[in-house]
Amino acid sequence: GGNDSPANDTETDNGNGSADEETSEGTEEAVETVTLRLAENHPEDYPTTIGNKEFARLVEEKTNGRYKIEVYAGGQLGQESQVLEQVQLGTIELARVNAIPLTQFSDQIGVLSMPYLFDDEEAKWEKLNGEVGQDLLATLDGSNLVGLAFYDSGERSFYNSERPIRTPEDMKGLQIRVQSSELAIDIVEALGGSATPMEFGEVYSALQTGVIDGAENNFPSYYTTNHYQVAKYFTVNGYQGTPEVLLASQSLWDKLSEEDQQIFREAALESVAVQRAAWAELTEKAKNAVVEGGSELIEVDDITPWREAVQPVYDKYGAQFEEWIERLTQ
Amino acid sequence: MKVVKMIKTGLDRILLVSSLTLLTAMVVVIIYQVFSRQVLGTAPAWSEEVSRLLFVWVSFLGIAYGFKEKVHIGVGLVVNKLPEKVQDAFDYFAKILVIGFGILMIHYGWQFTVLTSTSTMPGTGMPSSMLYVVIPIAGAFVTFNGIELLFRKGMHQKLDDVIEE
Amino acid sequence: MDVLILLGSFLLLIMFRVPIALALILSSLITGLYMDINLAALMQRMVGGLNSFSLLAIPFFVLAGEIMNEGGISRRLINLSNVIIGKIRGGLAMMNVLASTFFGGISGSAIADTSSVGSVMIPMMKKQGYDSNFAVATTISSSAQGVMIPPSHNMIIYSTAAGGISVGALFMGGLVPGLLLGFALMVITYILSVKRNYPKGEAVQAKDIPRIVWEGLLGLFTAVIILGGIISGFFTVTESAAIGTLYAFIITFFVYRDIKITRMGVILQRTFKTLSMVLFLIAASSAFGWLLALLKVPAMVSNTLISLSPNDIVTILLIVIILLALGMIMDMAPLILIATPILLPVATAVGMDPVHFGVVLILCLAIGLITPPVGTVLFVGSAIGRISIEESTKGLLPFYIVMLVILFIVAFVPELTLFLPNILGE
Ligand code: NA
Ligand code: NA
Repeated sequence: GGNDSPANDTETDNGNGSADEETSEGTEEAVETVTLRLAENHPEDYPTTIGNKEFARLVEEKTNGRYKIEVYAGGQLGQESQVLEQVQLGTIELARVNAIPLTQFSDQIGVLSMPYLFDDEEAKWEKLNGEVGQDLLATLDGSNLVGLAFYDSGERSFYNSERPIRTPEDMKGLQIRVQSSELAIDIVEALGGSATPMEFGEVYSALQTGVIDGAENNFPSYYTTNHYQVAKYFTVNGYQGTPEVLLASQSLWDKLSEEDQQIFREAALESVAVQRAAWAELTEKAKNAVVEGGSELIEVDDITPWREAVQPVYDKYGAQFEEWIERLTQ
Repeated sequence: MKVVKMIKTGLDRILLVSSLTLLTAMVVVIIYQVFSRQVLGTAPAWSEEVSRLLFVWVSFLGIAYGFKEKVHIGVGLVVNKLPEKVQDAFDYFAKILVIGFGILMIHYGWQFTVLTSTSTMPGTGMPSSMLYVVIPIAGAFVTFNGIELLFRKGMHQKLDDVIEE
Repeated sequence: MDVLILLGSFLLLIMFRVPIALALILSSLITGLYMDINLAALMQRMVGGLNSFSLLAIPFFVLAGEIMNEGGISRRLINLSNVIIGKIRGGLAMMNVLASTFFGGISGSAIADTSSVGSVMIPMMKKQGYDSNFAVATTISSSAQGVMIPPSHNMIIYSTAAGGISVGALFMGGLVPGLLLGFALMVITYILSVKRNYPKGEAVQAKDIPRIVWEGLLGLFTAVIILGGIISGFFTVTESAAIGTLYAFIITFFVYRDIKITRMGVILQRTFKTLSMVLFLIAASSAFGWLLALLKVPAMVSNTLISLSPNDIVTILLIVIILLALGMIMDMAPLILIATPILLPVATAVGMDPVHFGVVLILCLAIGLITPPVGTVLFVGSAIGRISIEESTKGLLPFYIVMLVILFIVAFVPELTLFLPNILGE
């Protein structure tokens, strides 16, 4: 982190957690201000946090201050999967998490992790911000979670310390660190690499010592983890773009009037633009920084061999997500 | 009374044996993971999750065991200076709190277990409640051990016991 | 109000001699009740605080320590120290310190060190004519040092609390300050021994030396395996701890062979007992800390601290004083978990590296282990030496001064901590 956001200093009710009551002057009736907590595991100045704050601002504005949202950034309230359980309980009213842990509650959401799912970014966000996206979020029904909107976390690509990778053939024989999930392992194996699940914090030294040859992530992570110092070949070939999700607890949702529910959804969707702009800016910054730091970016012109190579993954998981793949890609 | 004692001894035995078994299993799983990664070249997706699960179980059963063995340290800056009779009264109060804590663990632990029964853990596909069901189980043992403490003197280990180790 | 209830009920319960871990969770539950939070959330936080892969190294460190302890490691480390330093004036006392330095390289538990090294060394020292309070003081002050020397499970707890700071860097960061502290303690021990005319030690017979050195080094190699595994990146911290345990097992049962393998049952039970204490503290502190975060206490305290102090040096000084004061009345594990989210932002705001802050934090709390009114290691050491806490404290006075001097050097010369991690690229 490092950068402190001045936005936090304006808070008036430090010390009191839940539902504060304040009287606002000028109105005939006393307006009750309900303060809600939003858990965020990224730091203060991260794009998702910027999105959260925009969402908070919009909600406060649209409800004339009846709802105030405090963003707890930096994972103060726990790791994502634990925060999710707190949201289920209703102790934390709002949270921003990645879509991957949400598959614990609705396996359908796993479709968003399929490789080379969308043609391009534009198609992706048109779908995610539209009806299909909302329908997909609605599959969380019954798990005490209410999905509001998707946030951008870019595209994950492969990078390694051995050689420039241009085609799937170049992946042969490389040990690639993946997140410990079956799908992640299957994708790398389908592309010809050998997958090694490993804790994220261990990757830097594993790359340095050659225990693994490469890993995969987006530009900002590639930069902030310093992986670019020990694995300089970055193949710009986003193969997976699992988005982030902004969500609310069912118990909060049930307490909101229908109009307020509408306001929360609108505010969430409207905040996406600000979040995505912040993401694009960060990506650009990271990209320039790694190039300056000596990374070699390998642009891939023809994506076709990559799409063909991951066909086994679609053969294995495709049937399960059939309906969604169809709707997301039509 | 004799029967109650026998049952309690049996429960203690179950708690200790199952805890040590889980502890050993945890050690074995991690050593297998190292072997698998270093020798076979790939680590299984389940081993980390299973070892964390076992760790949480061992920890929670350990809470209950700790009350029986009186290892949970207290401070008592004020109480220590008081006459022994008064000290005993304070200990009695603490023992009742132990029982209360056990009951809360059973109640809320179970509530949480039910809540998480529909979600699954990513590595193994087991229901998440496998992680949390240990709370009410440990809560039951905490309650039993708390009740037993009512019939025993003190609730903190004497330092002489530490030395014998 | 919520904060007052949380802290007030905690302090009250502690004063009533309720076990610390229980007091932490009960005060959290009471506050949760008052705030109308579903109490199941606090149960979840207890599990959440434990549900982390790097914490899994703790059982291994404890187990490795118990195996080696039961297998006679402390006797061998004492013998090894005797070969190195035994002959000079105050030899036995300096052996005591050196043995603890070695012991710290195998275990991270100051209590285990005091009780195993101390129960051999304190009676020996008394018999040779050392004052009881001096014998106890050398034993326990040197035990505190073992917390700094890697491996140290307290560093792992800090790494978790600080949001995943490299354990390898912390281990390397603690090494030099730990050794420096050991060296300083040795110097003060020597000075006092000369001044008080304590006896010289007995020379070791030359023919025994190779065996003593060999067996001692075999034991110390546990540390090399654990550290080497982590630094080289071949193993994760937990995996290194597991390999170290495996090695300790082999050395104990197939090389030292003081005990039979059937003792493993007792060793496991003892490990479980130690774990139950530490892990309950971690679980309960995690619920307590979560409530503090929910109530925005960390932000409040940090902002106040930053706005209060005129410059960085004063801020660091304040941090050190706060930690020393807290360490005097509370146990190490919960303090690491609770103080880290509050003070780390302050420390980084004045330019302290998180690794440097971690080492300073651990050193402050290690001093807390041997200071009254509440110091677990002080209690255990006094009990072994069969003297009162007051008497031990009197003997400790010169040692406190030395430790404080080292603490300030470590706090204000960050290079001391950071140059090793930097060289190794951690
Ligand atoms: Na150590
Ligand atoms: Na103390």
